[in-house]
Amino acid sequence: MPASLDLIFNALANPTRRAILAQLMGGEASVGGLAAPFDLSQPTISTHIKILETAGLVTRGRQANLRPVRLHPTALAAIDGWIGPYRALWDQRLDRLEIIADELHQKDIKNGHDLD
Amino acid sequence: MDMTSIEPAHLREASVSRVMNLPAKYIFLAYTKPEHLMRWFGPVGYPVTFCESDFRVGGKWRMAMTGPDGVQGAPFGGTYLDIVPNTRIVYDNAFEDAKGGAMNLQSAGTMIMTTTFDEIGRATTVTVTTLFATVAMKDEYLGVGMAEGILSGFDQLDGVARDLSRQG
Repeated sequence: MPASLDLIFNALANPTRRAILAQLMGGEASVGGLAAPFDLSQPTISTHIKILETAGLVTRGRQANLRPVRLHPTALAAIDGWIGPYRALWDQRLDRLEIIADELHQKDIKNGHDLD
Repeated sequence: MDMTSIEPAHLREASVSRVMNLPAKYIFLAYTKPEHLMRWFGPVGYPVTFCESDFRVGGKWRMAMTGPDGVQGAPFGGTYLDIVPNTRIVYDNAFEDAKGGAMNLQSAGTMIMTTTFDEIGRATTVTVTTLFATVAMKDEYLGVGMAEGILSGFDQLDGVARDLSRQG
């Protein structure tokens, strides 16, 4: 497992590869389809896909010509949380911000100052 | 060469949103004074224990948090760049030491934080957008999350796998 974790972290340490994964969350796609939004050649995209495939984050279909790329189902749970702590930090902050804003609102209502 | 100017902004951003059943003015108010900021800005376990804020365009803000070890971390802060009451607050934010205080960052730099308050009816959508100085900085900040997210993902998989093995 440690070796594959290294491969996954390495595979995800690249914005293009993360963008490819984000695209695949919408469904499987051909290499050409994946290359379209990027200013990159098809061979470059193929190299990125190979790295994702080696890390077990995507699989390739068997059809000889198209070989569609799709997310590896078990990897979905893993990559789902990649923004986790940043989002969690702001979720916590916004929880408290809401509580404090509500206190300020209640105080204003109590004082008869709610002019809305 | 200034690398920051050639990396498109959309690749350097991250956003979170929340709908609150409150008028925008009270949420905005909670941003305006240190006594309120101190109660919500610090992450759980890292309360803000020092806070100064000159809440006007061009005014400075400065904070420090104290971790579970009781030691106050390196201060961070910046300047209010834009303030539209009950609508928008823009400020920049950087650690005062090059390594990002306790976070020990490789690519510490200035983030521009934009908070918008979008009131519709009695509800307000609060959106916080962070514009990082470089893609590398964004990757590092979110990268911490990436690693932890993946590890927690594997924890979940581990649990699923164990359940399946019990059924089998």
